[in-house]
Amino acid sequence: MKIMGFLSRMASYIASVTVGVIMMLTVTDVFMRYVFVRPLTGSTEMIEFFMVILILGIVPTAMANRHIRVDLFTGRLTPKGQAFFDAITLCMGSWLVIILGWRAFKASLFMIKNDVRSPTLDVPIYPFYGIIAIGFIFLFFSMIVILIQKILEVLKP
Amino acid sequence: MSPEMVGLIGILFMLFLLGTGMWIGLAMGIIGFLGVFWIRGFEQALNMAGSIPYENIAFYTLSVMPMFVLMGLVISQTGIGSDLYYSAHKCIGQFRGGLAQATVIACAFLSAISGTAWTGIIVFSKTALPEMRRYGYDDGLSAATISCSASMDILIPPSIAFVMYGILTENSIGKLYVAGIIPGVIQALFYMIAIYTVCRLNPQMGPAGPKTSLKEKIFSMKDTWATITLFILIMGGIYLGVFTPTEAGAVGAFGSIVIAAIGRQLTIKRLINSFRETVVMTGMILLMLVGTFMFMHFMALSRLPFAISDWIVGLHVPPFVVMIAIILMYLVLGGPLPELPLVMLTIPIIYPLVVALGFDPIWYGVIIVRMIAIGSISPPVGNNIFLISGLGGIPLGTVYRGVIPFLIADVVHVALLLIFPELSLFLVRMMR
Repeated sequence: MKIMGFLSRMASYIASVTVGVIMMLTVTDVFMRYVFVRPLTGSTEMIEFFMVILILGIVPTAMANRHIRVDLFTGRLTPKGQAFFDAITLCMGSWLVIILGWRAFKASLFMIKNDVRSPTLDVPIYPFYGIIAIGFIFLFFSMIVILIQKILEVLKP
Repeated sequence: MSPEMVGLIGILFMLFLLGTGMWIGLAMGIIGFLGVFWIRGFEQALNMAGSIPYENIAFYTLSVMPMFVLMGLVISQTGIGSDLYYSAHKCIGQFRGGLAQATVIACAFLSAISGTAWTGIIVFSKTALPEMRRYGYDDGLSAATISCSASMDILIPPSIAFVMYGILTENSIGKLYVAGIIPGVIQALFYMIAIYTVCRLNPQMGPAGPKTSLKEKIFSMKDTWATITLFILIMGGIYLGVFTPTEAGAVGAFGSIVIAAIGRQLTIKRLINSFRETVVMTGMILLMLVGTFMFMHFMALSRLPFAISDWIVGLHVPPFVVMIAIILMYLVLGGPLPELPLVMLTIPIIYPLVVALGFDPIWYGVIIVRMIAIGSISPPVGNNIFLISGLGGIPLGTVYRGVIPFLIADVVHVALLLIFPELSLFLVRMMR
């Protein structure tokens, strides 16, 4: 729980800084284009890479129980009933999350093997697939933590 | 089993998963994965799972979304838009229902610098609601004015709902933004007429506020410079082609931070909170986006949306009747579902039909965003109603009662947009 809390906070910090970087990069690009008639080369590509880092935001969102759901029916249940449904849906959803992480990791290995690079900046693509893999793997672990909490809630007398 | 039947079973199973309270993004992703597995095999489903997240997140246009979320959060944390209310309050507050109408005007301007409905509700529940209470306004009218006026936020650009619609349907976000301007202004006028009518019929609902001199009215406008500057920066920039809607998001977010800092409304704590909350909301949207694209992939393989389109077109029902049916569907779904999940859930199924029937996709974007806004203020499950009820401590029943005149105005407004598509498309045709 503590480790996951730490990882979630780290993910949140990194993604927060990235939001600031995307903002400043875009503003600088507009400024350079109009004031110096020299837009930043490859700014679009850089922003696309930074967008990938924002995937880490799915971890603090999960830990804060903020992922969007329809609670029209489950919202009417008792807290124990809600915890029971939450545990079931977390079990049902976690396999997809780990598949997404695993496949992103495999894609990252493929990018290394074939030395795939971005067209403008010639940056290797594999680290960004790696970040997506990390995002989903962390999400999987946070779902396990939440699942344990929900099971304890259901079993509590 | 035909792919179309697999698609249909997939939709029904997804509705079941949504009913269990599963995260919407995961529910859509699971159905997308299993559907592709069924139709094309395990290898293809795994390949899709590996490629969809990167391909759709490493997408330049999408960067507008966290920027507008950040801008909305800075505005709601620092209360930049509240000056607008105080100015409108001084100008028309002395008339019967004037404070409520001032809220509508302030909300319309705030909508032009923020992209989500909750910004307006948070800002005006702190400013306009106590003021209307002070002058003896009916709680139902006050709460309904704020929640309904805030719903203009997703129609008046910039709007995150338009961004998502544009990304999913590959339509120009700039054109969608411009298409929302005239309908948004008309919506504000209709709400003001609704308030006037309510207060005319029952003067106790919105008594006249304090009288102000011409000098006070003019001087009150000096405080609105922040909002007006942001408005000119964002809308002027997009409309004149100075920058793209994507760049406008970043310029707007940066501008709101600078303006809040100049006005000494921004503390380090508020700024950090805004960034952290942006990350959480972006995380929410990105997981849904991954699920939506997996679901869209499955829908395309199943050919179900096209089969539905062919079937409905084959019925030779007038397209207008089909559009009314679609509108009613959005009205029902718009209550329990927030704007983004609703756009993401329905577009893969409905959009091909709308195109097949020959409707303009930009106009349709305006219509569905409008319907989602109405859904968010419709009893019994409208999201905006719950939010204002919670923030203002007003019973839901009171808000429901207050919302009725606004819903009548909305029905007339939507009818107008349906009959005269030019109201949405006129400025789009004038764009550079």
